[in-house]
Amino acid sequence: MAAPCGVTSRGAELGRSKPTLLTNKIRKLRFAADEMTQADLAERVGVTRQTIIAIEKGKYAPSLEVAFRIARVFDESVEKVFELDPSQ
Amino acid sequence: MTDNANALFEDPSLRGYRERSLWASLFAVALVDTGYFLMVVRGWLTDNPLTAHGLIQLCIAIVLVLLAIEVGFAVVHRARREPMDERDELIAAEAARLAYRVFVAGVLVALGLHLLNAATPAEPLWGLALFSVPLFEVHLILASLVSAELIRYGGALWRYQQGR
Repeated sequence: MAAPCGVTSRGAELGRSKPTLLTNKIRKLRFAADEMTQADLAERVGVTRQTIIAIEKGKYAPSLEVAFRIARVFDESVEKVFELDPSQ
Repeated sequence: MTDNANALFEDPSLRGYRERSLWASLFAVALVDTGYFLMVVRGWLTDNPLTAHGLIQLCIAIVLVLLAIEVGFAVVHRARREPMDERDELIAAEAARLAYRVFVAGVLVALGLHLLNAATPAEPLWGLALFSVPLFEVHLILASLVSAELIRYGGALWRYQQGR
């Protein structure tokens, strides 16, 4: 599981970096889904490839809507794709 | 798609359309406005400062040049063009907020200097010839606007570089 990184949370005050405890399994799920490319995922979710890269790296916490869309692409629940760092 | 093409497409160092567009805008503003302020300074030094009429003409010319650069970039890169998503909007909002502060600070300084100048019309503020230059406050506000724009583009680019 990727280590949590400091990101600007959408709910945080704009311009302030705030550490998030959100981790994800997108990379693993992409490879399990016939090595789906980031570009393919981005297109299906409706965001840019750079946004998928940032989410995968844990540098950007997506909105709830995008999180649900990503989970839907892999036919998983949001909790299976994203989770709060259990050590915290 | 071949493996090589896949690897290329997955390369995170490849910049998106938005980032390329920001670089183009940053260079365009820096280039055009550097030219503008060089003309202003040359006018001061040669004791032939820009008049209000000349300033308006220059501003129109700058807007046209910037528009041409932006449109040219959009046409050249139309194949890579992609709509803004939520992260792009967030980055743009953060950068705009920072730029707004810079612009407001510049405008307040310009207003303050104008008021101080108006209080002592007989001599330039603090005895500095700079403050007696015609349209000084206008140039200061324009400089604030340019600085704010550069910070807006630069701030957004910095966020993209950070991967946020």
